[in-house]
Amino acid sequence: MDFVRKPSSASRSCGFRWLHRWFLAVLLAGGPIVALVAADELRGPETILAAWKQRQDRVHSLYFEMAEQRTVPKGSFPEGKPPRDFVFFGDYVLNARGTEGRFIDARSLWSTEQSKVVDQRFVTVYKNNVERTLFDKGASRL
Amino acid sequence: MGEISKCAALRFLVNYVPTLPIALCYRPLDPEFISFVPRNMKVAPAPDAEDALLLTFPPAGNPVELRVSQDRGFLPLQYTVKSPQGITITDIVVEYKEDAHVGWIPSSWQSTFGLASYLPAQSNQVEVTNYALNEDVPQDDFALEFPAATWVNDGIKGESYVIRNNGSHRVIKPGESSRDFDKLMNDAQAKED
Repeated sequence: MDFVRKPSSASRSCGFRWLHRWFLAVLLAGGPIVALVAADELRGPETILAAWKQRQDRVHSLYFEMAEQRTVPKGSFPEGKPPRDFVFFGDYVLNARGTEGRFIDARSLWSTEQSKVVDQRFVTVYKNNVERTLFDKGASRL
Repeated sequence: MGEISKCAALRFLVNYVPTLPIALCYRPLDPEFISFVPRNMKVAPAPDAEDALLLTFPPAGNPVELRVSQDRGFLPLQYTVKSPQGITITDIVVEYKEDAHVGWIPSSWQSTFGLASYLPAQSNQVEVTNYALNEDVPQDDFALEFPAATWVNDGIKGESYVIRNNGSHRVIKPGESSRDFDKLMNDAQAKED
């Protein structure tokens, strides 16, 4: 479903060019309501998908390092766990190219199985539709 | 411990909450998104911002809303998953910064998510501390060899094994999985020697 977007101030300043577009829209649509639509201001699924595809195609590989702070309130897991509020810190590294990727996850978190705070550290690689994960010794696997 | 399994390409990127904003930005059309199908979107003006649109998706599971910026190439600004009753389950708000060379970069995001509507919501704040786009990636970055003394669950072959010092596999037989790992490893090494 397309809809009308309000013209930007830059568009409004285009004077005759702007009026011309409105007039064109009236002619094409054949109705006064759509006369409020500027021909180049329509935004619909096809426009959005095209912009997304353009960005997706433009980025062949990506690398991101991230730092996370997670707040886990008391009782946010079933059975009233954890017994008090926690703030956990973690780090992630994401490296991807095409359909291949590597992801590193290192953080502390609340384990519902063990009912305590645990460290989680693992690296996962994705290649040829196979996922291989290695958990650090001493770290929990959740 | 090591694990091997079959997976769809980049499933990790598009369905893992910590990396979801990156996937929404750079891989929005990836077919592995399990929460929504981009081609089924419906578009409407966002009620709270003139330059934003609200995309909704017919529920494959729970209803998903995506608020995007018209002025920045329809970058996702907010991702929301609701329960069929309309209660927000997951909400992620993404901030961007502009890089002169590669355009808009997701720089931070805040998420709130509730495991159930009757439990207090958890939240997290993620900051991007370093990034690079379109740089050469060494082939080794996508290889992962399990070191000796690793217990491996191989979901493709349907077996578990420990890796001996010489790299060979000592398959765990039925009934052995509860054995102490060090004893298993010593046993594997003794047979190797």
